[in-house]
Amino acid sequence: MSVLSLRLKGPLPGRIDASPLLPQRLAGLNLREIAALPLRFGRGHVAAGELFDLSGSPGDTVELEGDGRLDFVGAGLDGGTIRVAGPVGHRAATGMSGGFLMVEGSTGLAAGAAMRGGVLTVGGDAGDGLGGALPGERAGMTGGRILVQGSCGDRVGERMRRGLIAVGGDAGAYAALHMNAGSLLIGGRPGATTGHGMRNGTILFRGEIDPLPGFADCGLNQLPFLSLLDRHLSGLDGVPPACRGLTGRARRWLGDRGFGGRGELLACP
Amino acid sequence: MSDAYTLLRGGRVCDPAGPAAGGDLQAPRRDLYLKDGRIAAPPPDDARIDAVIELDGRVVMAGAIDIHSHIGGGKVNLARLLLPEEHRQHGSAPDGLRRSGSGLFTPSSFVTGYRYAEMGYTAAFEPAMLPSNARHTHLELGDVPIIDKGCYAVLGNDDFLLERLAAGATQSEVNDYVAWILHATQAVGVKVVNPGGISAFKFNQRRLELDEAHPHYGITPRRILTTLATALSDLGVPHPLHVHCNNLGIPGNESVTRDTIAALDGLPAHLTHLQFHSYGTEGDRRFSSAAAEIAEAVNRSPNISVDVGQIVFGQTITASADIMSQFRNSGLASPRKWVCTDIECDGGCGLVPFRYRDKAFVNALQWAIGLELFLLIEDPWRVYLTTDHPNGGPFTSYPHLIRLLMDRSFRNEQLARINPAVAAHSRLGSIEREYTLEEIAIMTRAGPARVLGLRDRGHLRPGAVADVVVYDDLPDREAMFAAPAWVFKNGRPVARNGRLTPNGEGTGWGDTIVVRPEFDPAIERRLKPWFEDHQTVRLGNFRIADGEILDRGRGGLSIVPTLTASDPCF
Ligand SMILES: [Zn+2]
Repeated sequence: MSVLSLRLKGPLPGRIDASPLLPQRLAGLNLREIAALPLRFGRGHVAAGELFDLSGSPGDTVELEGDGRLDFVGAGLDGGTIRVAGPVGHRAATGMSGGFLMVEGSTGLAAGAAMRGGVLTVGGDAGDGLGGALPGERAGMTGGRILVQGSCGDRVGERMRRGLIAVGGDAGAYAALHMNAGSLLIGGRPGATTGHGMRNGTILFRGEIDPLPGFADCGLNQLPFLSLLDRHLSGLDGVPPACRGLTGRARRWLGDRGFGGRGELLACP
Repeated sequence: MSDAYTLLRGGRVCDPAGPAAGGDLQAPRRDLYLKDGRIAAPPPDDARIDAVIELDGRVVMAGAIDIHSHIGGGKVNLARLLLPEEHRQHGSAPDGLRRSGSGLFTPSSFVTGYRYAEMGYTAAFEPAMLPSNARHTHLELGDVPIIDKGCYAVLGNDDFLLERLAAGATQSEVNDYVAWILHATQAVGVKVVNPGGISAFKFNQRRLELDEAHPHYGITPRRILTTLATALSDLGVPHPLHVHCNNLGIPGNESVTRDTIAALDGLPAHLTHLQFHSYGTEGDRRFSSAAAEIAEAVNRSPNISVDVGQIVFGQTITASADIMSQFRNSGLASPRKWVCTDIECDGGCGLVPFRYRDKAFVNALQWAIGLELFLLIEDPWRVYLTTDHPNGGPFTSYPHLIRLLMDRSFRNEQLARINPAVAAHSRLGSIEREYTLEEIAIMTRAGPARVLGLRDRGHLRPGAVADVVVYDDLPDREAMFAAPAWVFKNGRPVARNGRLTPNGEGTGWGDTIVVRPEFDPAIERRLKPWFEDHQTVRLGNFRIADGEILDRGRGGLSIVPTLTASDPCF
């Protein structure tokens, strides 16, 4: 297995578009060609080699030293692995359709937005719009998996159609806004107006919740599906511990009735 | 000011509005002299010639003029907001001189100017400026570089006019109001959209015939139409009433279109995006082409000019003040999202994204109907090339349309590719006409200039603005018109081989073209309380000052002279 590693030479001059740094795109290039690769920077471009020291050999894995001003890391990724030591900026893994993006630190806005497949793991916190929809799009995430150890911002899983998002910490407001299908697991405390406009899909919480009035209380249930889900999660790497240990017992609400929705909120002890 | 000339030597000048036989390409090559941004008469022998450009028999025309293109204002901006994905997909990078931008069918302001200029267009007219949106529209057009621009103020569904008409206002009061609006909104014409229908929609009417009374005001579209057309004629505004007929897009609407022509009874008028108003109800699908009947009516009515609103297959967005038709079509939205809204009780606004599909019978027939209109209307001076950008498709498809008009075998190849039922239902395949270069020059330059009253544009006589386009005479007319060899705006070379020039000359700003007929300012006594009671701004703030357009020298104003009794009427 060949690994290409990019180490920051110093502080970045500003926000950089790192979307060209995809393993499959770099695999056909040599180090010199990669160093000459133009990365969008403000109104112009800067060569990758001016920002990064390159080593190793291009192949199916890219190791990147992270920075909160590196945007679009792994955007459009469709195979291979990117490992990031440190944080990334906005729009990481946007439109990703395969492969792995593993961020040790935190992510900025809209990480995993419009994701179609693959796996995004975040060691720190995620910003607003995690696994959400790009502006104007009718669908958000349509596949893949997002696993966050820390907390996330507002509108996680907006307009989600398919896939799994698990957040170990707290979630911001409007989680699963207009969700159509898929699963969102929140290990910590949910924010305000969770599930607003939800049509279908599942949001799972730990502990007590106080849903919006548009959700109908269906009482305490024993749901065999939850044990199956827990077993599925146990086979995956990077699932936050707060999302594990589901026994099958859950209090269930259906909604958002104001939108004719039949999505479910599950509060699991 | 400089006393030096630029000489464009040895071009074949195609200038139908020029000196006698100016459109004849067989005529000897003619040298063109440019000086101080104007076409100059041949100078004396000792004149200083700064630059000589050898044209080697290339085809030379005046800058092209788009008479109807939605490029700025509230509606276009809402369209951009509705489809951010368009702007994500179509980026346009800055190049050091030119600004960045985005978009294909709702391009951002800067990109709009660049794309037009690259194609040899040097003026475009925003046809649907609601008076309450006028400031926004001019601000946005102020950011459209290179080309000249102008706006038509939309009237005919505004409550002030409808209420005054219902109360029995005289024609001269309406004339004063129309003139006041032209001044206050810095417009060059007036457009009426679905006369009375947009207002009727707000009273739950979903269709309005020409002689059907408005549910609240009790007046008919016919009355609104003829009153406004008369007003512009009385005021001597060169561009006659710009009419978007009733019942756009409804099968069978050809009758209301023909009735509209008849109702105008000799009054000059411009019927816009005629393709959308030329539908019959014959055949199994109750949808058929009435292009022949409509073209016949236009041919018989020398008072009428039209633009076609040709559709082009692919994704676009329809943007119209005609909220009645847009609401009706909202179910066809692709992607499935749309907006319909009132704008300050002045009118309406509907945005429905649309994908024209060549395999869909209705879309394919619309395509054929547009081309039939182009080919069956005999006088190129009265039919102009438009897609009703972006409603039928983006303005960047004009070169493709020109090839369809000039090249019958290409046209029939395209016809063979679309839904086969269309070839059976349309006479398009049997029409032999091919536009000549001279006819193209008329429909894209001389004709629009004449119907807009632009006396120093659309031709290459001495004194004209030096908007000059030089084409390689290629057999592929699409390639020829997509990438002109040279484009000059105000005498500056702004584009070369379809790309903006890589120096500071490929930038700059065009004029805003306006018209200012005389009127009795006493109308303000009636308008002032109306603004106080019903509008969101006061009358004094509503009016747009020249300085706002001039913007400390960045913009320019060009005033179209009004017609007097001695001018040859359109
Ligand atoms: Zn239009």
